Amino acid sequence: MAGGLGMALLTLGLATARPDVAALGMPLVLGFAWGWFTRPTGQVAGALVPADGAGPVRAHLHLHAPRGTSVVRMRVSTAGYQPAEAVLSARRDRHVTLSLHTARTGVLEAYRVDYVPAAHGEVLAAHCPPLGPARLLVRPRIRPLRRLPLPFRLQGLVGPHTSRRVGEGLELHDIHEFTPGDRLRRIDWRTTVRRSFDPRTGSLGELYVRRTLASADATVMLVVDSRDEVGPDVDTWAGGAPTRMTQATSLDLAREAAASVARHVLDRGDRVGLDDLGRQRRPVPPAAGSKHAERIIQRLTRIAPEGSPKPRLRSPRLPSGALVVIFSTFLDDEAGTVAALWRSQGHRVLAVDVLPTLTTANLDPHAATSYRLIRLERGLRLADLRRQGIDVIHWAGDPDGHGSDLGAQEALLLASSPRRGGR
Amino acid sequence: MRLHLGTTVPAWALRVPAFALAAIAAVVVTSAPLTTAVLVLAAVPVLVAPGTALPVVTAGLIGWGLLAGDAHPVTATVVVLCVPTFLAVCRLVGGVGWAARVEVSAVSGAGRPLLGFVAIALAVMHLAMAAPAAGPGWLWAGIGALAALAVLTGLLTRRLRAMN
Repeated sequence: MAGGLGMALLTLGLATARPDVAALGMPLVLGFAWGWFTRPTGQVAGALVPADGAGPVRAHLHLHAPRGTSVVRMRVSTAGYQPAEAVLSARRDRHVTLSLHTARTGVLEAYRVDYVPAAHGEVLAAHCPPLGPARLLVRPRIRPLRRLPLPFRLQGLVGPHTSRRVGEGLELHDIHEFTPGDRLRRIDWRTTVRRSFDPRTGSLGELYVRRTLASADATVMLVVDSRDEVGPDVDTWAGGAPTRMTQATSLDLAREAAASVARHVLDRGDRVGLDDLGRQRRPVPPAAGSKHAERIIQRLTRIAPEGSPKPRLRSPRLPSGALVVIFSTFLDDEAGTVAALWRSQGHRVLAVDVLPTLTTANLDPHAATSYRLIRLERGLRLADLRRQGIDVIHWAGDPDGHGSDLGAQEALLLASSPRRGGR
Repeated sequence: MRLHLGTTVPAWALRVPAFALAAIAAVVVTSAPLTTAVLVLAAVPVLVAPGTALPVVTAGLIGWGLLAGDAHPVTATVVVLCVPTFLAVCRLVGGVGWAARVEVSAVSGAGRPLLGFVAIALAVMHLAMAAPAAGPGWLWAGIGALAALAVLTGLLTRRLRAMN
């Protein structure tokens, strides 16, 4: 359109012998001519590549613009964020890093890129199909834990812990008379000489062996309740408004807590498994090692609520003697019921409350009444768990007045103390 | 959300000078207060809606104002400098919002050819104004045509080289 105006002014200036009017039109005509003769002939190629690494969530945008492209106008949008717009120079291939900060973890669809490459003077502008959104895996943050309770019964023949059984190990249990089956290298010759050597006859009587406590490992089963995901603002629970991307939801806290526990357990050489209370699929069986840690983290990252899960007829099967750590908001009975069942079967159970610290400022009177009822029920549920010998840990401190002033670290230390059954 | 770009300026920092250029052109092109007010008012779309056809209409009105007034070299120079520049800025930031980031390299890339074209136009205009005014006007028109021909030949040569 500017070219048309330029041509009109140029013609008018020539017709009326006005060099100033013609000169006003001349740059517009020349600009249009320049844009037309240098217009791009190829297509713009773009790619959006998710990037790994800690810190903000990143993706790399690669744009290859053909020769003659002057600028690329770009709009990057992600649900929950203000869109970002930019005008880029496109005289060469461009690589742009996109990043955002979020409190969310799991699978995040981000960075839909709408872009319009344009030739000089807007002679040509192509509306290209949008790129993305990219499917990004945001790994949960891992909080280092100082201590974690052990199961009531340790298992296995090797491991970092000392069990109560007599067997192969380092910690002395007692000195005992030699019995068939004892290893010869276990004979304690000093004790044998002191107790059974007869100097008159020069013969030995009974042999004595040093018996040690067997070493063992612990099995920890993480059970994440992915049936619901609630944010800190109670007003969003009904689904009318989305939770802000800068606020962690209950499932984000569950992922963080489970990943932290898994890392701690694997670092001390024990085995850890993972099950999802919201899905009836095969659990990750207990195992040890760094590869298994990555497997657990990957599964945790992909855990998400899926529709309305069917109620379980049976509680998930667990390895015998395992420490069960269940991560839930305890907003309904199911998680508490299975926790109580596992406790009655002899497992040691830790209930990790992952409800975020709540805000109720935006609730109308009806919603506030409903929330008060939910809160009371949740309080009764948690008290019931404690009565049954289940340690309740509040990951976010005191989310709704039913928690404690203790942080998660202190609560775990307290639960690990020997008087509470820990070794 | 953040885009990691080169050196950038916000789009509003380009829109405001573009409006200022349009207002300057509107002020210098006529001495009648009412016409000046109308032209400045017509320049407001340069600020608020640079992506529409309204800035081109503004440029047309300024051109009309130039045609209605007397040909003065200083006035014409200011107008020829301002109008293509604000139109180029409008094209650059037209499709994006106030807060968009505009790379400085994109501004300079769009500005370099424009400077050349404006320089050619000013040179042709001053040559034509210096030529005898009694003539039929063919002299400056011929100079302009020759300059345009030179530019187009250069462009064609460049294009043909690129095709090889």
